[in-house]
Amino acid sequence: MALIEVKNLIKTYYGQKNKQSTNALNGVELTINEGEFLGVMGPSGSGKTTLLNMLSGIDVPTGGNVVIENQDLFSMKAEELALFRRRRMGFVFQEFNLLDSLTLRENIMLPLILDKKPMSQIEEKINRYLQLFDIEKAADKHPYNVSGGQQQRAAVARALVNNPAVIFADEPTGNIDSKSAKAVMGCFERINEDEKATILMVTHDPFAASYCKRIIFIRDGQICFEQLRDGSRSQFFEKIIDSLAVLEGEADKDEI
Amino acid sequence: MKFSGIVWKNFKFGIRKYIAFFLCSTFTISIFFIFCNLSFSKEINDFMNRAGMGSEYVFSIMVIILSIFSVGFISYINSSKNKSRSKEFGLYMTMGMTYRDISRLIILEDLVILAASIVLGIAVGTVFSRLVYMINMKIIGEENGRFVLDYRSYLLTAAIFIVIYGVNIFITILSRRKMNIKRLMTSDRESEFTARSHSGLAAAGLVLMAVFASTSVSAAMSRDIAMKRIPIILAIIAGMAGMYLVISHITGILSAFVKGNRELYGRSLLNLSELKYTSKKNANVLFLLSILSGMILLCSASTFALLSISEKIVERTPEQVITYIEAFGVNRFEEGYADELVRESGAGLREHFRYPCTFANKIESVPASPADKGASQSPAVPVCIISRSTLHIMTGDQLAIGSGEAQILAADPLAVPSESSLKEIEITNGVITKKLLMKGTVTNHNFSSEIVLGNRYILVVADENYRELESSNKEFNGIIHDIRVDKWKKTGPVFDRLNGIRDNSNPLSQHFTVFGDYAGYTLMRHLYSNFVFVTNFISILFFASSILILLFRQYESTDKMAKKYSQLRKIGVMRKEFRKFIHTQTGFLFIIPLILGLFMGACLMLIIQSIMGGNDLYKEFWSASAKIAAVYIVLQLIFSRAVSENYYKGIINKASIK
Repeated sequence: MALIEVKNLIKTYYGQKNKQSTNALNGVELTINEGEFLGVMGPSGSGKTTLLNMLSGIDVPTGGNVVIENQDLFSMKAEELALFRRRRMGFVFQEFNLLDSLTLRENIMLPLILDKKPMSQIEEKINRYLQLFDIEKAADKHPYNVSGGQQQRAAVARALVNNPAVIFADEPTGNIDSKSAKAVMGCFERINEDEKATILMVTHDPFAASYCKRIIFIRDGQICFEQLRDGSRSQFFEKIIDSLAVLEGEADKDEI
Repeated sequence: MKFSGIVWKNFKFGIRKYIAFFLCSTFTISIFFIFCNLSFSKEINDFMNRAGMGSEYVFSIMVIILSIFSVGFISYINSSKNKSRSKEFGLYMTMGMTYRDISRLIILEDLVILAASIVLGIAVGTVFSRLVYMINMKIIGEENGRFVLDYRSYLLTAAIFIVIYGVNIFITILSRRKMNIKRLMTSDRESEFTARSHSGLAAAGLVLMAVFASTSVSAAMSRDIAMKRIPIILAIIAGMAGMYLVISHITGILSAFVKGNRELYGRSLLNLSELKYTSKKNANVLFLLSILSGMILLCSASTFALLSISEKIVERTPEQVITYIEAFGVNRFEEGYADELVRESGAGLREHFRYPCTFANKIESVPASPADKGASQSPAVPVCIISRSTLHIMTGDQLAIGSGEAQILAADPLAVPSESSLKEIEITNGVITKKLLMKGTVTNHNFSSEIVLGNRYILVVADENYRELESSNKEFNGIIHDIRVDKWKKTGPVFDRLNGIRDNSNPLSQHFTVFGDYAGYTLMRHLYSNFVFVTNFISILFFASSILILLFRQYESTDKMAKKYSQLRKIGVMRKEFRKFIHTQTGFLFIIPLILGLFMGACLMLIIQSIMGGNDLYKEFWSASAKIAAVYIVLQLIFSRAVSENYYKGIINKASIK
């Protein structure tokens, strides 16, 4: 069942006096089903993060629309959109985006606190996620005092704590070492399989992408092709490497 | 390009930070200089002493507070300038610059800014000192005052600020020594997580504040303020330290309170964690704003209160009077003329008393004025002498004065000399000389005739001694006229007419004026309204400083807050929630200094009250001050809202996500 439907999404960045405008997205059409773990890959400047920002309502497109749970994101008012983001979306960023003034536990609590949920319910849920993501020992430390991997796992827990319809992750392994990346991706895989969470992840990293069930490859603001995971993760990893080689090869051809 | 070229380029890139630091320093130095020069002005000191304000105490307290303000403000702007450059220093170190090189760089930059700030600050201060002095002189009616740029103002200003900068440079270098490259590169984040507050330190601060408050109350209840100068100064310093501790650690107490209630903890989590950071990081700013608030309240509320209760001060004396001395050919009006004038004015003549008095023109071993403790000279104005019986009729006082004894009677408690200066005295009226044993000094607020008597006191002697003096030289005898009326406020024309026809060619005429409640009221209002101007000028300077501090703080933190806004916005925080969050944070920046400022202002007003005397009117004084404080609080809250809204809009404009 389709959770997100993207139709003819266009984003143009205009230069001075509308000269030198750049089309970051060129009519993207995309459907994401409930419970999917979708990866978005492509070279730098291909429009991956722009696409994620449009899908999450962080940025406004030049044309087209995005429908999530039958609601058109861009027909909502800014405040309705913020509320929708709080309740139906979760975010994981490359720079973690945890508040330095709060402990990891408090950071995870934040979306529930903003939603004025009772503390007994909040604490029960937080303890479950701290255990699930193996960050119980670091729970009462501030972000500055823990590793990048622990910070990112806390960010994933925060994204998940409100039972969102979809989780958007922007290069979640970009700032952490390979061991931590493995732990973080393990978290994503677990919540996708156990809790049927829908995840959309933008990444450069073929290893991280290999955890996805489907990958779309994007170049010059358009979806070029996609790959489905139909075998083991290592087989899928090989397919991703091959696809990237094709994508880069085409890019080199274009340059020549 | 050489490395020095890179440093120079970086300096030019960050010029806005240096300019902000330089301008703030210059402004502080200018204010300090203007105030110093004003406090050294002879005319201003004389004026304040005439108004009963004790210039020595008032100015020394204000200079201390202004110095503390300067220390705090300069430290704050200096540390925020250096903190904002931590990453830059870290980068230099990664490129091979040593700790020594960094220190040299800091010293060089700070010395250049110090020299430029002191030169420009004193120059601006010099120009504005003249302007401020001229305005003050015009208002206090001292047309003959001569503006002097006191060399002490230059020395004191330069010395204070060289010390402040020196200590700041030293602290900066020490703190850099502890820094390694990693900490320098991440210091902006580190400061946020290291914000810790301890409820124990906040409690210690409260204790120090209680010491300040109790010392102020005991000073207000004591008459001998001069003897308690050192304890009072120490209490002020303790109070300030206490305020600083409370500001830095107040969130420790709040956290302890909130953590006991899980729901409250959840609801206040974001605000409290941010307040913890804000109070720690902005402790200097909050402290400065508290001092400024306290000074603004002290300067405006106390003086407005004095002005508004001047009627009550006059009515402190139970009888409403017009009084003058007829002696040495002065104030010899036609019989019944004064009574007629009173009737015409509609003030309602009740009675016209005439009391006999005599004078002495030479007194040995007694001060010319009791304030000049122990002086021994011939007074410029003959000293009025009355008998014990006359005093009893005049005031109802029964003094135990035997033959060969005398007592000083004064209306002003400050005019009372210490016991050690009371000795045996010898008085003469040109014909006979009498030795009298001084039995001490008494004060009587009901005795309001001090000004008509030329000196601020009179001598009371035994009836037989009085008769001897009175009969020996009739030329030295006089009459104290005491006209009682029903409505003193209507007696204005009587004073004008009587003073208008007096013989001003007589040198004693200026000392034996026609005085009374109305004239006292007019004089008091004149003095107080001038004092209100002087103090309000200081208040405006302080208010301008507080605006400057707030704008500086906002300018400094907008980028960081914009980043936080973007973070919160991404996880679904609505604008109205963020707006509320900003209003809470800014409100904290206003409310804490306002509360502490009210506390400090009240304590200082208690001290000022004790300097001025008049404890009998404290209720009126405090209720009038409370009204001014209420107006100030309302204005601050309105200003807080406006600043907060402006800050919020600035953050939204800078945020990457709208």
